[in-house]
Amino acid sequence: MRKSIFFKLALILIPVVLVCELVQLYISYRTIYDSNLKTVSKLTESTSLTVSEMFRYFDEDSENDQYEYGLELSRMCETWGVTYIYALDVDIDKRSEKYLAIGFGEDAAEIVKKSRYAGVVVQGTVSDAQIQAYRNKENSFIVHEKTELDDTITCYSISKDKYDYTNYKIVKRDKPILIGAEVSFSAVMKESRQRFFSTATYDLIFTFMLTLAIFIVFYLRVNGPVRRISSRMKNFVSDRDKGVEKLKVRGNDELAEMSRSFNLMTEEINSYITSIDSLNKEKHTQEAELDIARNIQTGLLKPGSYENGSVSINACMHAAKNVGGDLYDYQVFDDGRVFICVADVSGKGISAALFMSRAITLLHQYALHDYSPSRMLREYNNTLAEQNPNGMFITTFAAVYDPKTHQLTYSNAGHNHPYVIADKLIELDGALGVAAGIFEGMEYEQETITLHPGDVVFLYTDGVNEAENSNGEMYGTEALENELRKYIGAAKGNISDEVLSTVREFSGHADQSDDITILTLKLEQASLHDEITVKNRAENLKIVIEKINALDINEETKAQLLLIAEELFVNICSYAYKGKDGDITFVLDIGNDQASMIFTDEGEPFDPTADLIDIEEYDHENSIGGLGRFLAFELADEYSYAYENGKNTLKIIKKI
Amino acid sequence: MTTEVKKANGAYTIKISGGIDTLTAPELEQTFKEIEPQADKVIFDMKEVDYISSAGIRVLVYVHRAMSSKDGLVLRGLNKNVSTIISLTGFDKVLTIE
Repeated sequence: MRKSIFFKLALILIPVVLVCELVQLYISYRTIYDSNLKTVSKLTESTSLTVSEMFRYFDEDSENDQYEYGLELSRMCETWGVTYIYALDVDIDKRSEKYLAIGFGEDAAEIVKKSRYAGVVVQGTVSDAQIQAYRNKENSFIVHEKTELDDTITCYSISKDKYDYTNYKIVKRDKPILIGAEVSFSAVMKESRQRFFSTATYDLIFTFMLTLAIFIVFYLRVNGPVRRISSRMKNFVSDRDKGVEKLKVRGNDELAEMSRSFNLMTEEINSYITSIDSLNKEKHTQEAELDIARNIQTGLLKPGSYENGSVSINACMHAAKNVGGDLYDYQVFDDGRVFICVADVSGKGISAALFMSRAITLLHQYALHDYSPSRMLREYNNTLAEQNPNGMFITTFAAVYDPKTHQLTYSNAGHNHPYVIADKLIELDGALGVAAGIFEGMEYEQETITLHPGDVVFLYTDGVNEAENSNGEMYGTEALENELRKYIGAAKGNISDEVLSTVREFSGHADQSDDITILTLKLEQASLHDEITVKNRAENLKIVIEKINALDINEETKAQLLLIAEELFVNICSYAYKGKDGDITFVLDIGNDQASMIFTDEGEPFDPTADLIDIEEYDHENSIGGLGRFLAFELADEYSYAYENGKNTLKIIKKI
Repeated sequence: MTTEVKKANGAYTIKISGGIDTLTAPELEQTFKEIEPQADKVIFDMKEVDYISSAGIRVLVYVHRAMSSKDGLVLRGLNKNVSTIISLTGFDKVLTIE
């Protein structure tokens, strides 16, 4: 209750009303007072004047007159409501006055009645007013005196004339008689006051009641609607589902306006919430659709890695948000042939994912039926184009590798050129045809390339070279080619993963703009272990060379192996047995991406790895020695020497 | 390895085909020695040379030093492998390579 605005209003209003009332009453009272004052003044004046006329006929010597006039004065007092009327004979010098006659009204004080009567002389009560009146002689003189005893209004007048009974005319008196008509104002006011206070009381009570009544009416009139609006607002959200009734609007005042506004606002809020709801649903539907699309997409893909003895495949597809449509596929047949492909669908969402699934299914079928890549793409394009209402297209690169012939046969329907990492980076830019799915009847060329163990075929989609960083720069095919060149003649681990992480590093914090798909087909080295022992004659080098030449590795590595073998073999031949005959054992091992050669002899302990020349310090003008060993160990990736069990053992490792 | 010698005034061009290794280097050296007295300048056309070892480099250096008092030795047509090996030894700075 204390919090209520009405209570606060009451706290202000009631004192204000009270104060107003009191002011009003005070003004009333004063008005009465003044009015009384005026009335009484008039009364005393007329009384005084009348009496002074009357006293023309007064004979101060006649006791009878004193008595009669006294009675008359009292009668007049009573009739006119005057308290005292008296006639005085004033002696100014002595300041004494003699009462000639006196009349008493209702309110006359007992003490005065007893002490003032005709003939009594009173000393020292001549007031200045009386003196002034006496001297004035002309008119009446009204005076308002407040003493301890009383509050009186007196009108003094002079009776100057006297009737001469003898001569039947009015003559001047020797000594004027001072007439005083006195009214006890306090008595008058007392009566007024009583009446006033009773009226005032009723007035106050009435005002209070009225204020209260108005207050209550106002409270009821305002509080109700305000409460209703407030509770509607509070319950707006929870009641929304039940349906919000509009507030009843009565009248046209501010409260009605507020109710109307509230109704309007709830309408607007409701429609706003409804439209947000539907937008959200739409958004969720879209997101759900994209999720489904992505799931379809990833569900169709083969596992990310595969290995048999002759090939290893690593593949990954990282979908970008809101985009669907890259795929990779591979298939290894019983006879060891390998089918690989990557493709990129033009559309987005579920329709792209479904198109993609059709594409993969077709490719599987055709590969199983032993179609060549060219025929595969032809049939595939025709089938897709036959039923493609959305006009989607799919770029595809398809290839078949035959380990028996080491041949990779491929066809390309509008897809980016794959690479082969051999002893150099080869771009497979042949056999480029039109993207599949649009035009029926397209023909696709086919090309073949011979591969070697250790080679890697690198397939990718444009999410790789078109990957953007936060500056909007693209990774680019040049950067990709440079990256791939790093793997020439080096260990080829999981190139897919490594290229992917390089691309991701380039992109940094920028969002992935397109699907990134990579597939690598690596031709494994057949492992080999070969051992031969020959005599320490330079011409036996041919045998070692033959063995190395027979290896199925890239030419550059092979040439280096040949060089290493030549230098070391010749070195051993020349020095190990000090001119005598001796055996040299040569062991060649291929496996785990490396070739290792081990030379063993039973000659003089000699460490060929020691005292190698420093090519910076070498005197190229004049010297010629030491180059052989230098070159051998320079070209090797790893080397080691040991003399154990009476044998020099020299091991060289070269990565292939 | 085979060699083919052509003469133009005082300049002898020896076209070498095959690899110059420990077994074939002596033959090259011998071929040079035969024309050395008459040659003012020697050119090795090495377009067909696919391999060289330290033995081969030794011959090149020998010929280079032998011809230094005359118009020298010029090597032409080095392929990538051969260039790499010669560079490794640092003799690319000494030999005249075109």
